[in-house]
Amino acid sequence: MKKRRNPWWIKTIYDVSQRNIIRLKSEWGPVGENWWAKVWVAVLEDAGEKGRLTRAKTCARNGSGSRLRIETGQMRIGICCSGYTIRDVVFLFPKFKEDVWVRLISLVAADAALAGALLSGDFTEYFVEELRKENIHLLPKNFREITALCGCGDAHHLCIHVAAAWYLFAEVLDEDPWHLLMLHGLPKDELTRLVRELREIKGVDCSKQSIPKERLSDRTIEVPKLENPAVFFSMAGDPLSLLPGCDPDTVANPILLLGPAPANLGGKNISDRTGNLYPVIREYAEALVRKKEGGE
Amino acid sequence: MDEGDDQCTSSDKTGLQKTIPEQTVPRCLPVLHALTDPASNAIALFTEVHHSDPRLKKRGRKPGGQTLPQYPFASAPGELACCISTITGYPVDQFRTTRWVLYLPLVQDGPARSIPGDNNPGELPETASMSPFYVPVILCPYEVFMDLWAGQELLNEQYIIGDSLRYFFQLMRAATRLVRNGQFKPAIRRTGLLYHASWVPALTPGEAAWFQQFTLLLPPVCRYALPRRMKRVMVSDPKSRAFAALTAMMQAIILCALEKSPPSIRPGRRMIEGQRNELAFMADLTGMDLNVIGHLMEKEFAQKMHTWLTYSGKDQKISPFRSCIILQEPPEGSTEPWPLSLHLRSEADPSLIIPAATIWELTDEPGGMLPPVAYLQQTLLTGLGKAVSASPVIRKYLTGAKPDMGECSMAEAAIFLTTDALAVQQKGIDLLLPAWWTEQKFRPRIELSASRGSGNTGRGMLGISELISFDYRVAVGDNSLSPEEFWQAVHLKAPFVRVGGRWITCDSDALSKVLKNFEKRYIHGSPTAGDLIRISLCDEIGPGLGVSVEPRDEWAADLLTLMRSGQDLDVCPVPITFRGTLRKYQKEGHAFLLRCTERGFGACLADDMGLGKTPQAIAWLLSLKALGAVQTPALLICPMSVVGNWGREVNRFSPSLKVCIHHGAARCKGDEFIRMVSGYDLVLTTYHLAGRDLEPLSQVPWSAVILDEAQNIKNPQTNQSKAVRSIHADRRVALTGTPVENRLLELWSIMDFLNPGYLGTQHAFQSRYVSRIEQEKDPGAIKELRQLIRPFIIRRMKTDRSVITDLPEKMESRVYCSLTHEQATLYQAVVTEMAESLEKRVGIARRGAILAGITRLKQVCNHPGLIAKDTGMRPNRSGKVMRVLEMLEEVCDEGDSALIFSQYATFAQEIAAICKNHFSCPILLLTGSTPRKERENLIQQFQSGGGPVIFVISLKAGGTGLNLTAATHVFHIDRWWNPAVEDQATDRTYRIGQKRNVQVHLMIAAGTLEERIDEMNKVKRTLAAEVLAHDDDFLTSLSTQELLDIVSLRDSVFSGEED
Repeated sequence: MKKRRNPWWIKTIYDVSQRNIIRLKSEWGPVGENWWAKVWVAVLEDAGEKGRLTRAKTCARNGSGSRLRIETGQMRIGICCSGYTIRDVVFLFPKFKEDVWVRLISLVAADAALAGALLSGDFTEYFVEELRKENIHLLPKNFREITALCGCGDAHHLCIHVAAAWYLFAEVLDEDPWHLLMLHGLPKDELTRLVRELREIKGVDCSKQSIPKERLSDRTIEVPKLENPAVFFSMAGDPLSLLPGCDPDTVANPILLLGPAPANLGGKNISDRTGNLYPVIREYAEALVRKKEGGE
Repeated sequence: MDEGDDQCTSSDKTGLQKTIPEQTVPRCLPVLHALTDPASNAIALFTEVHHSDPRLKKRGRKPGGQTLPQYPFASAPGELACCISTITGYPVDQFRTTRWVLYLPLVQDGPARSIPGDNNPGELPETASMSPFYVPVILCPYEVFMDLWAGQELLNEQYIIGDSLRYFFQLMRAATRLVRNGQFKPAIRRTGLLYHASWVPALTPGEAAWFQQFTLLLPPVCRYALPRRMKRVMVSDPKSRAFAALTAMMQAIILCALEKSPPSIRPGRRMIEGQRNELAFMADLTGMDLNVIGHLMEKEFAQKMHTWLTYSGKDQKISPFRSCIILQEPPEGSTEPWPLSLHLRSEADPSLIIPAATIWELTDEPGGMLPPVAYLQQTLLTGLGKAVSASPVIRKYLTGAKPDMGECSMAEAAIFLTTDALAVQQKGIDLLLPAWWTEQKFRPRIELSASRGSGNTGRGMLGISELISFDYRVAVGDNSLSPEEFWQAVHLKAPFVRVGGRWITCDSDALSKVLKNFEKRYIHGSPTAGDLIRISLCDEIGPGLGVSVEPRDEWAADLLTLMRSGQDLDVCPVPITFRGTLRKYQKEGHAFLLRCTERGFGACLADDMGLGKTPQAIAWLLSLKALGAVQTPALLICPMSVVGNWGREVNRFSPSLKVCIHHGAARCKGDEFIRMVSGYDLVLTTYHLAGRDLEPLSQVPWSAVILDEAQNIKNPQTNQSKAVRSIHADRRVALTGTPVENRLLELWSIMDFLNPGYLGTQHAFQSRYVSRIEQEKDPGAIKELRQLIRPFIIRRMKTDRSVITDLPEKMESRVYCSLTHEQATLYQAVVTEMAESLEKRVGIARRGAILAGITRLKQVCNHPGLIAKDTGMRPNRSGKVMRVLEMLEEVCDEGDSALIFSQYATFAQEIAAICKNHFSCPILLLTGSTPRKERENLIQQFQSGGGPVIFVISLKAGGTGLNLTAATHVFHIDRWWNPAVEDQATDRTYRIGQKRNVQVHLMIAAGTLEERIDEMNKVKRTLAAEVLAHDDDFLTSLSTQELLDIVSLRDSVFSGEED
């Protein structure tokens, strides 16, 4: 019989193939490597009772997790603690309201360092700290902030499954803390796009540009109806005061900035070949400048 | 460019050459104007005259009609063409004349003009309506315009240069400078379906700003020019008009330059066939044909290059930029604020640093040099994002929408430099910090001046333990301060302070710790010459605290020169009492010994074996005597095996030295010894005896102690070493042939004998150098140690260039070996037995007895085991074998190969067996019984071996026909009567093909018939009597008495006698 692939059908740990099982990478000691994962774990450990947490950690280490799903506003993970039944543990995150997002986006866009952190993907303390100052909390302040749901019969709110899921999610955050944005309602890519838009940074990876045809009417203006005849033939200022490149020591090398060209000629990169033309040309121009300025 | 229908090109030459009737306007020259258009590849020039040319004044129809009116004040272009032609040399008939459409404001029914004329007198209205006119122009190509610009002064005589022309002249000037600065790059252009490569400006943000401003100056007359009439009138905007002109000008300059000195691209056939696109690209850029005339770039290739040139490739490796943070020191004279600024810096061209303020305001403009703004801004942002998380100081000052710089306080600058800087750099951000922070030369260092201390007693020869006194100042850059002044400046607990007008860095805690230690040890303690030498050689007295030493008196100056001069030695005259001549390097060695010992320092002569350490030491002893510096005898300690050799060498080189050998059971003891030695110049003894007879030895005030084969004291723990070190002497010299630098504890032991305490205690030495060098191979430690020992050790190797040229290709040396007690007894017994048997025999029998006796004697000299015919001969039963092993050890240490010749095949076998037990290198054996095939194998193996190989050969089997040039040492372990046979054997190695020097060691048992044979051979050789060699016949013909004279054992020392 063909095995059904519907996820809801998976009810026991035996239905999960070995490679899909999630277990903690940390084999002993505390969980979480980066500071944000530590903060995440600390929130749990402040709320939980020690013995229960230890068991939850063991459970997470034993490979109880499966089927991790991160969606806007919630995170789900299947936990099989004792026996073989998998229970879905759900963390419901408080979604930021529209106005909070607007505030967040304008805040990030207005601070180059925040925008930089977002664009570089560095989840810095500065980023979290600055948002917290504005009362926007990416990481939970306490355990109650996140609604953790578990279908087990444990009367305590913080059952072992929830704690195990919390630990497992700590390592997920370790890999990519930006999931927190998604969990608060907006994927990181979308936020990045909005911030870019606000800062007027076009996408760097612009798609293939076609070579513009040289058109005469590229940048044209209409001839005005009226003009001032008195200054019609004269310059609007003294051009002598404006002269570029007065410092002969500032030698630019645009070819160097371009990097290697996508073509070779006779075993030599076109960029090298072109670059080699520069000294001769510059020397010639230098001679022209000398001749002219010497004569003046 | 399409020529419009209504554009009238008057290319008829007759019209040009017609001279135009002069418009006689005295005093007033015509005005020259210039117009450009992006679509035209030339500058249009026209002249404006004062009075309208009546011939041109006819009015055309109104605009919208079929023709336009002619501009009434323009003159016909012929005269202008002639004028330009004379200035530039461009042929007159090459100028194209045409007419352009020009929009001009109408004033009083006529078009405006630049010079007030008859028809528009008085005040001009503020605005006037615009109307098009035809104006006749000549088209001046940009390369011609370049020449015109160069000769523009010549125009002044005939024309007034209008503002429009002045504008383009100025633009030309700018173009030249931009090209000079390299601000241009290739670009792909498309006209219709054709793709071309050309040069375009590549402006920095600064230049772009300039250009923007410059555009504003464009005179209005230039803005509304069109090369032809159009239905829908649109003219280029001033910026693209000026940009097109600038591009064309730069292109003209570049092509002229490349025409003058064309690049060397020689397309081969394969290139022409396979790389037409690439060639077309280069051809377009260089203006050369490159055999691709008519071929244009294909679309795909052009597309690819365009993507590259505009940085738009998806996976293009844009030469990366990095965020860069610059911290500058506060303005002169104040301590705050410290400007902190954000920049972007190119990795490919680190001198290109763009301030953040520029990046934030940058827009993508054509002709920019930099990558797209989005890329730059993103790079700057990500860099900043990382930097902020690493440094609170950056967080404080460089945040906000568009941060570019801040000013921080001194305390913040200190935090930034000491703690944040490293973290920021680790995030991949460039930092440019003040030079005094990063450069070593601005760190404080100690200036030490030294002089001989006052506490020294009158007795000289204290050497390394001579007391000295130090004085110091702290130097920073070029200033030097007294310690008090320095501490006053540094009392602030800051990582940098202002001292003597400049900022310096100093970790005051660490510095004060180092300085306190330094003061305690050297200023208040009792520093010695050893300390001075150590400091002057190491240039550092603590972590990060450099030191320079200056002498304060002559004594210190002399010492410092000595330490710094290294081994370039002035040669001292060798005393005339020395018999023989020293080679150049030997004279240097002699001078070195004198130089060190006369200042009281011990010296080590560590030349390679065979370079003559013995004569150098003897010459040194003679020099001491000649200088009158010594009243008491010198003591020479050497291994037993070379005592005899020493005695003979001293006699040979300096018969004037009185030598006494303190050795043997009958040696003097106690007071008798002390009395006895005072009559001699040199006392020889062995290491073994030095340990046993320490008591009498240490009572003599020796003028010098010399250790031969000083590696004998390599283990500092042994009684022997302790005893040797405890002997008092004014001068100490060690001779060794093994590379001391590689055996560290041995080195320490020898140095500690020579200069006690110089390298510290054994324990200190071990922890400081031994583990670092032997296990970690720390190059710093090796260098330091080398520097420390350099003044006291001289080591020349045979491979040294200076030594090689000085050496003969073949060097023969006699090695006198002592007999062991067993050998001597046996030898004596054989002689006695021989004397008895000779009495009884005559004729052939006598002759046989003599030969048999002599063979036995020679065998005894080799090894007593040969007589007893017992196997498993221990090497220590024979003095000769022991010496050979010692020497082979040195040979192998140096990686050289050796040949050992013996006349006795059995002895050859034994030697080979003994060597096998002693050395790990291959030992080969060739005797008469070796099969022919095997022989060739052996020779092959010997010649090809990379490492040391020892080859034992019986003289008769290997005397001829072999080629063994791999060897550099030849040992003749026993003597042959005929020197020619020995020479022949030696020549196995010394053949054509031998590139190295060969050393021949003749092993001679001292005092035996071998020595006598050797003397006779010497005579034979000088007489060139080899031809008449009489071999053993000579001996058999002697009388018994004569014979016994030869064979009897004479004055000799026997090892093992002391037991």
